[in-house]
Parts: sequence; C-alpha cells; structure tokens
Amino acid sequence: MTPRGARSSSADEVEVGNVRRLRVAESVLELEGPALRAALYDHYATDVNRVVRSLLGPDPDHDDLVQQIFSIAIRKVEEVRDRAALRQWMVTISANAVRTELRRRWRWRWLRPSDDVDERASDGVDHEARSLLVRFYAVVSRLPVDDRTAFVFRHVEGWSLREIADACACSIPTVKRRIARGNARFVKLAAREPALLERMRAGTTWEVES
Amino acid sequence: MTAVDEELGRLGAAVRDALPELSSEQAAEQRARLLSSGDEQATDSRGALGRWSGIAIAAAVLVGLVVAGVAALSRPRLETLVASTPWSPDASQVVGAIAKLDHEEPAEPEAPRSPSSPRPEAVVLESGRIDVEQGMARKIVAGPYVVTSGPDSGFELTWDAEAETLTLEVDRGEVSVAGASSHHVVVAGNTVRSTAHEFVVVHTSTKKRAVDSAGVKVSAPAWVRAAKRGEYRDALARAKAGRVLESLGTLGREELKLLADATRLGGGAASSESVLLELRRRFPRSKDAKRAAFYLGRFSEGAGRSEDAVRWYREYLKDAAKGSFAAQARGRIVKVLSRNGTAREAELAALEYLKHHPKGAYAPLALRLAKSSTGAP
Repeated sequence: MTPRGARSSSADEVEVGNVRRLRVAESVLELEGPALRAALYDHYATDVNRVVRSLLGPDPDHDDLVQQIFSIAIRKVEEVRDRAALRQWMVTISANAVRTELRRRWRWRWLRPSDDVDERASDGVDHEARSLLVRFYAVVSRLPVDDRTAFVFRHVEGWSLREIADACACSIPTVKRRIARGNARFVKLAAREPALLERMRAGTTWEVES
Repeated sequence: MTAVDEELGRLGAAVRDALPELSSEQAAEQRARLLSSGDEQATDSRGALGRWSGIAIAAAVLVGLVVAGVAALSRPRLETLVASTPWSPDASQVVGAIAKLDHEEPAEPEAPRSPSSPRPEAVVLESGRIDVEQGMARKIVAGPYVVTSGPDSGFELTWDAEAETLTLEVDRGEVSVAGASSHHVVVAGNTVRSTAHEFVVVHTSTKKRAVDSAGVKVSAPAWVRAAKRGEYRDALARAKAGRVLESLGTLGREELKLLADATRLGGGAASSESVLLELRRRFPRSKDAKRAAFYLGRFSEGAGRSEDAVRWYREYLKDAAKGSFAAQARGRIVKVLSRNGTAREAELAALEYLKHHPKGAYAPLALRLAKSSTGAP
C-alpha cells in the first residue's frame, strides 16, 4: 500500500520494493515466539494501524483491535506460502478484522449510544480537525460495511482499485461498484452536513495557498 | 475522474491529515502489550470488544436454540452458510463468503496460495451478498435457486431471504441460474433479478462482446486474463502449458507485452529476453519496444553481461531520452561502468548523469566518480 503522493516513479522501483519486501518477510518468517511477535509488529505496525485508523476513525478500541490483528497474524503466519505477499496478507487481515468489528457494532447498535468519534481517542487533535472527523465518520458509519471499506480506502488512503481489491479479497469490478455506491450514498448523506460539503468544494485549510 | 471523485478525494485527504498519527508512546505501548501476551492469551486481548463478544455469543446461542427448535418442527432447512451436502467444501475453503457470516472472530484471509491450491466448489447463501471470484465457487444454493458458474466466471450474488429475491450481477463468463421451475444462463455484463413470479434482466452492459467470424463468443486466453489480473506466475504457467512461448510470432503487440510482464515478473526471466526481443523486432517504433530495451538492459546486467547492459540502456536512452526509465538507465550505466568499465568511461557516464539528474538516486555515486577522476578531495 503506497501512501498518497508517494507512489513509485517507475516499474523498476516497484520491483526493488518487492525484493525488499520479500527479504523483510523472509527475515520475519524465520523467527518464532517473542522474536516473531516483535518482528511482525516492527515491520507491519504502521500498515495495520493505518488500516484500523482510517476505517474506524479515532476509536477507543483501536489498540485492542490492533492487538487482535497481530494475534491472528501470529497464529496464522505459518500458513503463509507466498512470502512476498506477507505485507498484503497483514493488510487483508487488518481490513477483515475492522470490517467484522463494524458488522458487530452494526448488529448491536441498539445497545450502543453512538458511533461518533470518541473524545478520548482524538486527544491531541485540534478542534477543527476533530470536528471534521466527527462529521465525516458519522456519515461514513451509515454506509454498508463493504461500501464503507472501499470508499475509505479509495478516498482517505488513496489506494488504487487493485490495492483495494487485494485488501478486500474481491474483484476490481466489485470494488468499483462498492465505491460508486459509497460515493452516491455519502454525497446524499453529506448534503445534510454543510461543513462537509464546504470542505469538499473548497479544499482543506491544510492546503498551502499558492 | 469525475467532479464528485475529486471532491471526495479532497475531503478524504483532509480527513487523512486530521486523523491522529500513531505516536511513539502508543506504538511502544502496543508493542509491549503484544510482547507481554503469550500466543495462547493473545486472541482474547480485547477489553471492550471482548465484552461485546460475550453478549454476542450468548445471544447467538439463544437464537440458535430457538431457530433449531423451529427448524426441527418444520421442513429440514439449511441454517448455515456452508451446508453439509455431498458437494459442500470444507468451511475453511469458502473464504470469499465468510465475510458475510456472523463470526465471533474476524474472517481471516487465506494464506497466499500457490496456483495449484484447491479451490472451493460450492456454498449455501442463507441471506446477504457474496462475491465470487474466478474459480472461487462453482455452485451456490440461495433459497430455491441453484447458481452454477464455470471456473472462469466472476459474479456478485445477492439473496434477500425475506423478500425471496435473487439478484445476480455477472462480471465475467457465464452463470447458470436454476429455479424451482425455470433455468436461465446469464452472461457477463448482465444483471438479473428473480423472484418467485418473474425473472427480469434489469441491466445489460453496452459493452460489445468479442465474437469470432462464426458469431461465437470469444474470450481471451486464460494466460492473458491471468496476466491482466497481475497474476504473473499463474499467467506464465498457463502460457507454458499452452506452448505460447514457442509461437511468439502469432502474438499481437499487447499479448507480447503481457507475456513479457508475465515472464519478467512471474519467474521466467530466461524466457523474457526472447519475448522482449520479439516485441522490439515486430513493433520497433512502439513505446513498448523502447521499454523493452530498458528491460533487456536489466536482464543483461543481472546476467553479468555488462557491455550488453550498457548497450541496451543506451539504446533505450536513444529512443526515450526523457522516458520514465531515463534516470534509471543513466544511473545504471554509471553503476555498471563503475564496476566493469574504464575510469574514463565511468567518469563520462557520471558527468552525463549529473547533467540530467543532479539530485537523482545515483548522484552520490556519480559525484564520487567525477571527483575521483579529477583528483578532487
């Protein structure tokens, strides 16, 4: 998964990246016990946290979910056959864990007060940013889980269709459909949120004025 | 990209910036917690979520008992997604469908599989939606319907048990839908909806399907489809099985390009050179032929043929001095000559590189070579 604005400039660099990822994966998979846990965390914590954070928003269960993802990974890592795909596998586990959590919350929503962004989890975020996150995730939480996942990966993480398809274990046409549905639903729901509409149309206050 | 996409992309970027970063303290805490938990404890490490799981399990047991009681009194009914019919796969095989289940743990993806791994054959969809990838499932039972697909088909199936409505969107191949009293074949690009009373095509793709001179539907060879999906190892294996590598002269430019990718990235480097050379011979003026020169340089370099490597990189630069691999080609010339060329050749290549890419990835090496040749400190 390549962060927005940091895509490789050539296929050659992509290959170099693949070779590096393979070496990292091989070095991780040779380990066991605490060393394996530490290595998995050290190499893939950023990816896992990013997936959880973008899909869920600031959330009090963030760290618990990250722990669970690594626990699953540690249990299942021996089954990894294509070592070069270890990172992708971690991302897919993470996406599945969050989607399962979102489904669970949806089923038990009548017992929960709100899906809004948690105050405690957004400590350190300024008021304007927190306000944006609250509004954005309030709208996003009303999308079906699969559509929400594709929508967030596309627009928040800026991933390609292929990357989203890999993370969600589905085809590119399916991803396209989910994004289209997510877009349509989000725009409809966001119409009731003037602040979001304004942000969509006017850009962000973080953009540098030229 | 539409205006809506741009607006949402802008909003998404703002959200991404607003999301709190993983702080070093938080990372340290996560790491310490992971290390302190044994493998056997780790699965139950979630506090609040664990409590929810407990409630969910209790509720699921209660609902299960009630449903089981009702089911026992009525007709036999499939209560799980994976039925124990003779053609039912092992539960672990229906990965594509598991996301629709109410699991207490997240659906884990299969470990990356080799192309020869067994594939699921059938599932029962109680309610909800299922995405079927090529070869993922061949038979799905949804209410009174039996949906059957070939190994090359891909589709999305939705079964609304309450409304008893089946919706099928076919992306690839053909899918057969057998109802209680009817049977239909739905082809790629079509979406159909079926209820107890009607079977309606609700959408037909405007894309024209390839047909041969006899009007029979033609689909691309399996290796081409695999290469287009980026499954290069699979593509290469299929191309080899179909003896495609022995008949390069029959392939078009696009196919040669795909085959070059499949051989280059799918572990068939030995075959890649001949494919790239064929591409350059048959389509010398194409953009792909120019890129082929760069890749031929890479293969030559990898094989230790320094002179050939430099020649191919220069060939690429001759055709695409400002191409996307130009910086790489110039840099690699510097690297190869610094190892195997004369000092003068390396110096000239370094100066040429610095002239075009003073801040490029190979600039430190080029600077060192340029300085050492002039005797600068």
